[in-house]
Amino acid sequence: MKQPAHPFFRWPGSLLWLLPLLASLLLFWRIGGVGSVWWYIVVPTLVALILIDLFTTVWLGISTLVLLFIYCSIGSSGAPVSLAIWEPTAWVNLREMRGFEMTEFEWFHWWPFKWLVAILCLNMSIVTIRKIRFNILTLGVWTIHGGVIVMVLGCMVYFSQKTEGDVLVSRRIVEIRSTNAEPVSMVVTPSNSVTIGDTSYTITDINPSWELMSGDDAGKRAYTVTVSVQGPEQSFMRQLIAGYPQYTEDIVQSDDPNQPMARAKNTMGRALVDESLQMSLQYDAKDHFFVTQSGAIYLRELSGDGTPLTPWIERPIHNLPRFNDYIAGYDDVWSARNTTPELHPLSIKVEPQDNDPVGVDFIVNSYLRYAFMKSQVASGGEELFPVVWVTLRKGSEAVQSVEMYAFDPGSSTADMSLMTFRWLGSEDELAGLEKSLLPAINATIGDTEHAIGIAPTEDFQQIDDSEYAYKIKSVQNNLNIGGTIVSLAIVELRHDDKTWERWVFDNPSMNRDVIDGAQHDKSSAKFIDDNIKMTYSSGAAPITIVGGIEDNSYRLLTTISGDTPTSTPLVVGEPFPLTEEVTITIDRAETHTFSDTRPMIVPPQQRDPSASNMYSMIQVVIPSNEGTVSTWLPYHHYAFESPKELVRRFQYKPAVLRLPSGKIIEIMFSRQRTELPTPVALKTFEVDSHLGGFTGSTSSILNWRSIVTFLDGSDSTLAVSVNDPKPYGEYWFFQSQWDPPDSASQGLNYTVLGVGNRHGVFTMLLGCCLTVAGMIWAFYVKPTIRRKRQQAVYAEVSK
Amino acid sequence: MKYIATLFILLFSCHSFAKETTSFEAQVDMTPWSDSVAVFTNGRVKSFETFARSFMPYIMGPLKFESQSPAFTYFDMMIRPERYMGESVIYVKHKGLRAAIIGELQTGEPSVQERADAFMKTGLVSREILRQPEVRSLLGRLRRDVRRFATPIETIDSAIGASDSRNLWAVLKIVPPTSGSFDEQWSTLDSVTDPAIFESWGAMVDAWKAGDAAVVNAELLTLSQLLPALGAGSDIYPEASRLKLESLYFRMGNLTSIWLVYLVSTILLLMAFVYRFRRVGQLGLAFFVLAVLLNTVAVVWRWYVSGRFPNANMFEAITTAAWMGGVFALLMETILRKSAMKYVFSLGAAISAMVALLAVRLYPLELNPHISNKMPVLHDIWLYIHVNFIIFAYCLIFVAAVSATIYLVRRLIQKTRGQNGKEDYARAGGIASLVEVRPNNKPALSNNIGSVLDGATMILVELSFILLWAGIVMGAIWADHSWGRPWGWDPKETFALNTFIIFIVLIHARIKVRDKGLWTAWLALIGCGVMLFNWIIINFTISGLHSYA
Repeated sequence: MKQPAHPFFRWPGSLLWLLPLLASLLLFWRIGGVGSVWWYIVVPTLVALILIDLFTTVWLGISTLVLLFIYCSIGSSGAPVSLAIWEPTAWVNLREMRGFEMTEFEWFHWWPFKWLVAILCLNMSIVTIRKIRFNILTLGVWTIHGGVIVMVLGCMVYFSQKTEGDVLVSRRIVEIRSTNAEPVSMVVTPSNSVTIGDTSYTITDINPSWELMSGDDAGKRAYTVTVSVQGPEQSFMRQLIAGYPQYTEDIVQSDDPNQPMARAKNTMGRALVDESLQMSLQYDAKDHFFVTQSGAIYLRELSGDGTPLTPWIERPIHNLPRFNDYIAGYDDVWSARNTTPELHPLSIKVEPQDNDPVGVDFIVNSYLRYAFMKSQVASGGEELFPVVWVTLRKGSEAVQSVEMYAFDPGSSTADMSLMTFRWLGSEDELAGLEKSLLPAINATIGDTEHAIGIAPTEDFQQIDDSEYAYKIKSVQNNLNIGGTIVSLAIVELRHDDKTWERWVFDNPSMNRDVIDGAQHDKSSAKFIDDNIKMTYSSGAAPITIVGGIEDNSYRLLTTISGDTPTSTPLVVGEPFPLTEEVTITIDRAETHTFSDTRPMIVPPQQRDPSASNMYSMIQVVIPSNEGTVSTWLPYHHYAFESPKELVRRFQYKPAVLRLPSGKIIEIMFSRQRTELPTPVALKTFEVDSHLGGFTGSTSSILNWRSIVTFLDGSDSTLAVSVNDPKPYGEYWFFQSQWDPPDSASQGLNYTVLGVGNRHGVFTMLLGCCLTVAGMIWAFYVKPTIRRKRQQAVYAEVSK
Repeated sequence: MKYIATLFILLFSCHSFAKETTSFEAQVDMTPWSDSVAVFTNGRVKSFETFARSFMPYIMGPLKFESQSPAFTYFDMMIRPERYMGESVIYVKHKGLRAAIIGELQTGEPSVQERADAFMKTGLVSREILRQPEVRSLLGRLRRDVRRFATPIETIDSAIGASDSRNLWAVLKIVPPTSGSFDEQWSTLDSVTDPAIFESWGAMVDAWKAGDAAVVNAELLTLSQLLPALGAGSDIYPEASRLKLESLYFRMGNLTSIWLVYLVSTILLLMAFVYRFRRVGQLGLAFFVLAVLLNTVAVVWRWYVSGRFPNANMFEAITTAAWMGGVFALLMETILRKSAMKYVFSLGAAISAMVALLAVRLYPLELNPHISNKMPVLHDIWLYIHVNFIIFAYCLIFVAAVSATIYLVRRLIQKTRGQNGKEDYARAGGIASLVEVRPNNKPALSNNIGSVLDGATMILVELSFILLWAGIVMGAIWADHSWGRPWGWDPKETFALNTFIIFIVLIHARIKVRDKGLWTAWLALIGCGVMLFNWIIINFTISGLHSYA
């Protein structure tokens, strides 16, 4: 391979050029020509002539390749920190560490990588030109090296102009037009609702594959949405069918108990209850996409009553970290037990944009990779809000630690109602509580009260000498029903030959008998037999801690050691034996507390690796002369403009801030947006399935297909499916994500399209093809040519 | 030929050693049922044999309960769940988890200690132990360490769920939809209306509970005729022959025992190559041809059973790569039958295929042979082009590493003898050393073992160099229209590039260094190491947990 290079190319590169370089530097310095035009012409030329020799060495290329290998490995797999390399925890990635904070894309577009590639290309070009004479035998290597250069040029074009992101497009929005009101719309997603005046509109049902039953289109399937309309005067449901506005009709309540809902057409003689109320399904046209791995703050100004005064303004955030936590102050966050986060304040300026309601730079001073907002109780506060922290221990080992709030019904009990914390005002209340420690059911027949057993029974038991018998079916304590905590005993009663079931609540006004066919509402009859009245007292929890009687003093009422309740004083910090093995200790007790909400940092080993930065948040500081305001902002994958646009699985939690100037702003953390050439809408979403049909699970799916339309007036559609992207304008559109069905919905309500440009892709491909062709030539064609030549030479010699 | 025939019989009989007992299990013959009844699972239908073999590992990993067949254990767990109460039936793969669970047990008693030791050794533990409050609380705590323990603990929980007799019944979807529709769900026997099936099943279950094998066999035979009849007249019920072949394919251990034939050929070819024993060489080649033929049968068989070319999962990639290497070596042996390079390729390919087939046998959980539907993203023509180019390149890289290793061993021997092997390398390169000629039309390749091995390594390196690069480029073309960018610096593609970089270094270093053979061999080995790193560590450790942030 090593052949003498052409003399013309060989002469310039030499270390001999060091002499004229030194001479010219001296000369320029003496005559004061440093920085002149000639300086810029002569010095770089001489340096280049010196370096040419270095770049003519193959070893430079080999060394660069080795460095590239190391660079790629470090940025991709990372480096192992233990010998157990098959354990994921053994691999630490440098680029994800503090100080780097680079994605793979950023790491491979960092200057060291670009320099290595540049040195390699330069070296390859100079070696090829100076050392490899161009002829038919070297055509292969010339083509390979030329192909690499073309490919690198293509990559430069491609990656310098690359924009990629995604856009979530819902199938439809519901547009509501009522008289004397502006049209209002909401996206079609389960349970979405909007209120106009005193009427609320709620999406109660979505069927992505409704079979049309009548008309010419019978048998076809369509996307239907049912909206429940609840007004002061009328309530009904309206069914809207995508693509078939003529089939819109209302469903109303009927008097027929067998068919409580009926078509308005049948009961009222017309399809629509209120014809002045127009509702229609429209496309959810999206005109922007969200850029991958970017950050932005969105803000808008609100009026005093919360009405937006300006549209959302996007402020891009540059150089936001991604992998590590950066905290400006210890008091800003909660951290897990036994961990102390390090302080690493950020100072990222986020500049105002055109028409920005706030004219100052925002400062991002904290970033958390994985956290959630958590309220914790802090001591202090002006109001009485007693809290105890209790630990059950077995020997010296803590079995369970709980936190109980006396005034919060949802948090005053713990461990499936085993423990409770009560705050009492007087000794009398304590006495009353002590009396009712054990659960009891009483039956009053006529004027006589009978105490009956609480334990579930197999057979009917006679209630004393009455004509009634009972059977306890089950006892369920502390059920949370619509936010109210209730306890319930289900008792079966028998009188004569009649048996029925009675639900006896701890609140007697809720008691009722189970009557076949009766609605469980307030209006209907409640009892089969009024002569027997029952009460149920759930008793205290087996472990009840009582406070409030005396200052800093607590009592333990317990039934755990037997049938006889005991009442003992409990001192904070001192363990009390519950059984032979288990002790209970009040670790801490506070009477006046308040709720402090901060982000809770999830320890790294508890983070779901696939969640990426979905649970990240930033703290933004808004400085002004009158004082600074700061707030935590959770990451929004999509910056929905209002809750009406919010699609399930995503969140809409902008923070509302009152600035010292009195201005109110709404602010949100999301990704940067880029405008699409034309708004895109989703006509329909299709799923192809394997044998057995679509079951909802991904394993049953063969392909997903979004039928999209670009609102450019042409009404043409494109079918975007996996492995089959479609170009529109300068972008390609890919099938990226979908809305899978679950217990709450049949799904298929939206699609996520990947969007990306691809300038230079054919240049890259050309380069790659050249390299492959060159390799085939160098390895297989060249030896054949040489063989022919050798045979010719040897034949000539043998003559 | 007699020996070959004996070996063949041995190979395929070693999977079906019937137990020399008269136990109920030994008397029950599930073959008619296992081979004729189709089970619907995850958008495919499988024979019951295949289904049981793919389902039972969810519960018992690669192990069997008292050497029972998976099909029998499936039925037995479903019909006689009480027999498995307290028995060690749940497989825990993670050894750290095994130790942690044992730590929670009161191992004071000798019987508990014994079971704990067995658990640590085999990985099998009873559901009752896993349900102990101490163990539940331990698993609850460990689960919070998402990166290390969440998945192994979920696997244990799903194994417990899967082993429930109600679940075994619910997933046994053997009744095709009466409409014969492709898009309709299959169901369990609950939905069957045919009284004959109903009665036969009831009789079988009663007999099973009573341990009456004769009745069980008779009823299973009846059912194996009645159930397929439900699918008669529609295209959705698989043909009887296909089900049978599928069962046989799995019952024969996916034919991975062909590694033994490769082993025999390896020994013979190595002897032939080193000592130039002509007869031994011919016998070695004969075994190699047999192994490749059997391997071809395995690939084609799987192709037929799965309905697609086998390259859609790790098992298929590895076994197909092994087969490709075998076919390539046969081709090279045919071309080079009169050259000094004969036996080298078949030897390298035999060792590679043997390693590949042993790997899939030894790691049935990681490289599981079950046939499932492809993910939507894999439905593309580039799956076949790109993946086959890459796996063929990887296979050749491995074969090159074999010849490089032999070269290095030879150099080591030469060194101990005080010889210098520096001059033993293929002067003209890879293919060129075979194509180019010297005076009197003598081949350019000199006839010493070092040059031959170096030449063979170079032929493999050159070909894998082109195939790997072309494969990477094709992957980029696929990624461009599948993921939206041709190159995303995903660890898997980065390490494919890294492998290629090592081979660029090899080709350029070979131009510059003096001891070309030694450098070539070492770099070929390093290249193979990077390729294996990509296939093993990146695939199983890094890629699976990598957050594509």
